[in-house]
Amino acid sequence: MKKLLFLFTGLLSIIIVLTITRAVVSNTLSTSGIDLNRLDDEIHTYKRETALMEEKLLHAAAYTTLQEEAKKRGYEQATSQIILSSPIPMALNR
Amino acid sequence: MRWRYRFVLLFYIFCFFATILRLAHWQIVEADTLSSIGESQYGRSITLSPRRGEIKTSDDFPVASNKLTYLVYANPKQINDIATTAQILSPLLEQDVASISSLLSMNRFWVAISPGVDYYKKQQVQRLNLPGVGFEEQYIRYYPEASVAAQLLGFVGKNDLGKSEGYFGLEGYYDRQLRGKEAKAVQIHDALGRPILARVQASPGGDDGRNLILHIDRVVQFLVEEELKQSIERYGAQGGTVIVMNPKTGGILAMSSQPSFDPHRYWGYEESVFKNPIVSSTYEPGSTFKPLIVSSALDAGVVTPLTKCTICDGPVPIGGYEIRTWNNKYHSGETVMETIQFSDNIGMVFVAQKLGLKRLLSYLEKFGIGETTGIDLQGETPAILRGPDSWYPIDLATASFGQGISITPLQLLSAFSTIANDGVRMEPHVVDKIETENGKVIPIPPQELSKPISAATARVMTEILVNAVDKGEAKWAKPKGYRIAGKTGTAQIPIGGHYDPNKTIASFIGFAPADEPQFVMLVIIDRPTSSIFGSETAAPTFFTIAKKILLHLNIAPTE
Repeated sequence: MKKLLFLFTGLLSIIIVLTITRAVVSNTLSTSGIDLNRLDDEIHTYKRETALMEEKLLHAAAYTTLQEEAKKRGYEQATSQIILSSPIPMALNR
Repeated sequence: MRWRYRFVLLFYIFCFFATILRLAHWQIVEADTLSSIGESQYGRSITLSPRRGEIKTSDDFPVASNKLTYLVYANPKQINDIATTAQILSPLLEQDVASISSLLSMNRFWVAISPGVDYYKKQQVQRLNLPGVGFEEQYIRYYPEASVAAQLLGFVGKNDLGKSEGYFGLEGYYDRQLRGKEAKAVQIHDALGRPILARVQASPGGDDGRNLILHIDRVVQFLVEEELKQSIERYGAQGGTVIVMNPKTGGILAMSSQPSFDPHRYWGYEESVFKNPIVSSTYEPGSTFKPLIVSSALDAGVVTPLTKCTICDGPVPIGGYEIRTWNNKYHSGETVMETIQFSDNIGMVFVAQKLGLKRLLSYLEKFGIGETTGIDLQGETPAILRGPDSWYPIDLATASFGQGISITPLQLLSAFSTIANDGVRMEPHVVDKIETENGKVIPIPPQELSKPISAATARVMTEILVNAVDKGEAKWAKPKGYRIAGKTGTAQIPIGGHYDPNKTIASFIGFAPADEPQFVMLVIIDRPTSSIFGSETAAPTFFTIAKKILLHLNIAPTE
């Protein structure tokens, strides 16, 4: 009889403890969605800014763009090149 | 009494555990099913497109990338004043009011108003806080170098299902690698089934596309494009192509064709311009084919560079036709080396007759003539090499100087490059490596296709070609200080069973530096009008590009 009573009491206690635990955990987690959303928004913003900057960078670094800019600034194509060869050894240079 | 008590107790304990088991069944075993049913009630599964992989040149610069844009959409059920909304959106989205009004009047929860809207325009629309108007992020294909290498890259269009798909060039050939895998997401609905305008969360399982890293040298590609455009204008030509390849690896360093197109606006061009003529169109190569015939004859041992031509006194009659030189000048007793130097058709007929049809066809097969090269570009066509039964003596004669035989420019370059690579033919390849989303790099190793001629033959042929450049018709255009091996070509164009007397395909093929080749290049000028000869059009173009490439590669003059 005492054993059965003990069993009942034990089960009931476990149920109550688990219920309270669930309530506490749910309560704590319920507001984490707001933080997650905020972090998600920040990540999204950084990704967008990165994509926009990448596009600007690619456009600026493209040879087609550089050629247009060079023309505007008066650069011309080189028509002659100077090639410097290595000096001959001193022993031969007499 | 005691047994009744126990019976009731056991019954309650049984009910208790049965309830726990049932709960475990619904919450663990059937969890996924119930979750899906729930999602289908409050959400709708949508597909999120993965980010398409980039195509980068050898210096890691993306020549095909992705640009952030927005799809402007609306929920017509939430728009009260359609006319005002349409009038506000029309100037911003550059669409007429009537089109927008008709979309907003539809009896739907979601309509697409305008795709491809850039970020700044999207901000302008967003600041207006128009009810029922939302934005969906989209990435569209972006080519920072505009139409540079357009036929090599291809473009991204829409297939029959409205999904993005690559067409032509690398975008077409590597579409599956570049495309990636789609991800699924859930679009939330309210209790009345109306979609909520909110950003969706993707579930795991999608993969962005892989990046391609090419052999293409961006500097070489750019200067090839510029020089080709200038040459076409200078010589009044209808078009032209240039290919530059590393003979030791088969890596394509540059590839350009004109006329070209803008891949951002591909819908404004005729389909014929999307084809890459370097791999898809055949032509009669003319004198640029001669080195292959002479190499074959030298390798077979039927001639040496000093073997004298016994039929070079004048025109040669063959099968009812008369073979002449291009300038009607004849050099009696000229050597095989001088045959290339003078680009003498009679001398070539002599060499081909020494070689014989059977050996000629055998060598051409080893050179890869008549089959695809295996390059990783969409649209390669094989040139057909007729069987020996279809050849007449006149065919052997004309094939020796590159007429009556059709090949693609790439096949010619691939075959010719064996001379620059100790007799070994490498598989041409545009892509060097594939980069996965995780950063893992998968290299594509160079592949040897065949060894048509020996290394010794290749070295002898190199000297013959250097002599041709130094003493031939194009010697005036050659840059000083460098040993360059090459051959001019002026090929007549077949039209309706005969050859056009006024139009030619002018070309030059060669490699430099001759002693340690860093690149092999073919220049084709299509129907030049200022001069029909390769020595006066394609050769100067070749030498101008070659000089710039040699400087770019920091190769000092050796003479």
